[in-house]
Amino acid sequence: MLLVARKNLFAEKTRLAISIGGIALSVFLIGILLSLFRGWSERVGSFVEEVPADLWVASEGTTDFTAAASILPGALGLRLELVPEIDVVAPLIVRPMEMSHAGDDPDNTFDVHFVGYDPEVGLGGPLEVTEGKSPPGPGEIIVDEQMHRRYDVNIGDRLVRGTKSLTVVGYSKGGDFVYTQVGHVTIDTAVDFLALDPPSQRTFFVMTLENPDERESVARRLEVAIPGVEFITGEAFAAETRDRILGQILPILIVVLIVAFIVGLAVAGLTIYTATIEKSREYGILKAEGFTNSYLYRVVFEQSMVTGILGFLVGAAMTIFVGPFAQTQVPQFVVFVRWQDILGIAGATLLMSLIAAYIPVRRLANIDPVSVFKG
Amino acid sequence: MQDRPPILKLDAVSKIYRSGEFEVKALDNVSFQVNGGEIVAVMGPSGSGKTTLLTIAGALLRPSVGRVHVCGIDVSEMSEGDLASVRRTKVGFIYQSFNLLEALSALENVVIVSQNHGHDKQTADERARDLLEMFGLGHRMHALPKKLSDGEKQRVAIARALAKDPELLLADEPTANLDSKRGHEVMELLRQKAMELHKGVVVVSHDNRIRQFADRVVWLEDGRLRDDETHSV
Repeated sequence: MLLVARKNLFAEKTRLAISIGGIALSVFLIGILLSLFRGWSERVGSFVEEVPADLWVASEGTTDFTAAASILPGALGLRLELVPEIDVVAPLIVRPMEMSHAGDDPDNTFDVHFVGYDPEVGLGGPLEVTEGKSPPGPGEIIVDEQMHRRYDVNIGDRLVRGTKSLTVVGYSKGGDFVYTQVGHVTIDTAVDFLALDPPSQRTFFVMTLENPDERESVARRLEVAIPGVEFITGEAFAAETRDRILGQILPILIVVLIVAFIVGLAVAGLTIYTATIEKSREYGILKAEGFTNSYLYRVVFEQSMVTGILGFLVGAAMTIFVGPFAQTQVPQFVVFVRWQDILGIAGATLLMSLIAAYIPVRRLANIDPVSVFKG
Repeated sequence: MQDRPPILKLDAVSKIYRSGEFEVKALDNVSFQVNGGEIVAVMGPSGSGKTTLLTIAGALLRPSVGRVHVCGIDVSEMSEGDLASVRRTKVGFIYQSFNLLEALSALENVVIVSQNHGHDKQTADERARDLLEMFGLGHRMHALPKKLSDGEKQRVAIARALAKDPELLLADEPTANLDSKRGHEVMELLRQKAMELHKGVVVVSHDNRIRQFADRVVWLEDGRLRDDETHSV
């Protein structure tokens, strides 16, 4: 780094701190929003992605797992079992609902993504039971551990909805959709609890194939053979579910990211600009002494770059340490810090620094060295 | 002294500033030269064109008419980049208000000019230390300008001007911000170093005390040379 750039930069410690602080906050804001988005994105799609099914079966028009506006006849499962390419077929009854603790104020509810599955097949059941009993028996439910943490739902508790109740018998992992969590019961419990009529109706079927590599072609053939029913690969269904939840957030996120970038740019630009203006006379002296314009440009660029790099380091450190800490305090604050995102933010910060230096550099070009002879 | 090639030569130089329909002739047909080891004082009232003369001599401005030679190089029509190169290698400036870089120590103020001249870091550092020692500032090398007295600042400025080993030194009112004792010391130092190092020196001033340090005094009034007189020092 050039001596003049380094000395000028570190001589004004307050200004440097403001400049670094502004960029750091901008980097932190960008970093935390991206990490939050990644965290949510990973969390909301993971259950569907992790269920070891090659194909999901839903009624036509069903967009994703959480909306679950799918109604299928139970007989469809028997029909699918006859298809030679299909290995296992398992029914699911899925329904988003509100429940409350027995004995609590009935208005004090929390969201449960109710999933009835066939424990004999296991497909679509809890991904990993971390504590308690599995599979659940009649009138029993296994809740996601995030529900346990967030709403103090414990093993042995009774969860009620209307006149019906379920007893919590275990905690599972991997069923957190951030705004709701899955609770697993048996198919029979689901039919009874939801008072399904007819009781044979199902929400989804999940299937494994003899040859998973053929899932696309099998899905297309089945869609032709069974009209009004969609066959969707696990990856596509997970992506649809993510889009359903995060698609609404993404445009807002992009706007906030742009605002954060502009704030960082404005702080860096203003501080570098005022620093350059204040040092105009000194730049004039350097010009008079025969320093070239390119040398002076380098001084400003280096100052801007170093400010940007320091701001980035502080902001990235804040993102890496504050994000996970906030997650321990606020369960909904699900962050996933990716090094690729940090790298991208580093690029954005460099861009910020380059743009911030542009106007001061133009100003430098117009400084008249003769002016240093005045006063 | 007359046998030596001139370090600075102005030949029928005029400088005209234009603003719309108005014209101001800051210099009018000025010719003079400065030889190595010679101090020329340019004196005159405010607005007489002294600073314009200095900036043209220092390759900061191009003349409107006439030729300017610095160390034998015709700088009259040079590009900005080439003029900067001449200033970097041939001309040292000493300013009325010292013009030291505030964030840099005395040593660093001298070092960067030496480095810009082409000296490597170590050579520049050694040269700057030698110069500051020579000017009695060995104990103030690491002081920032705000911690230096005006006299010390001007000595640092002279050391800086000499750091690139220029053949031509141009001083603009070098004693204006100094008391008479410090002013005398600075001018004595400048004269001594100019003689020792065989530099051509132009001192612009309206301080009559400068006369005693000059080999010649050039009187400028309304942009014209009015008289040419010589003092023996």
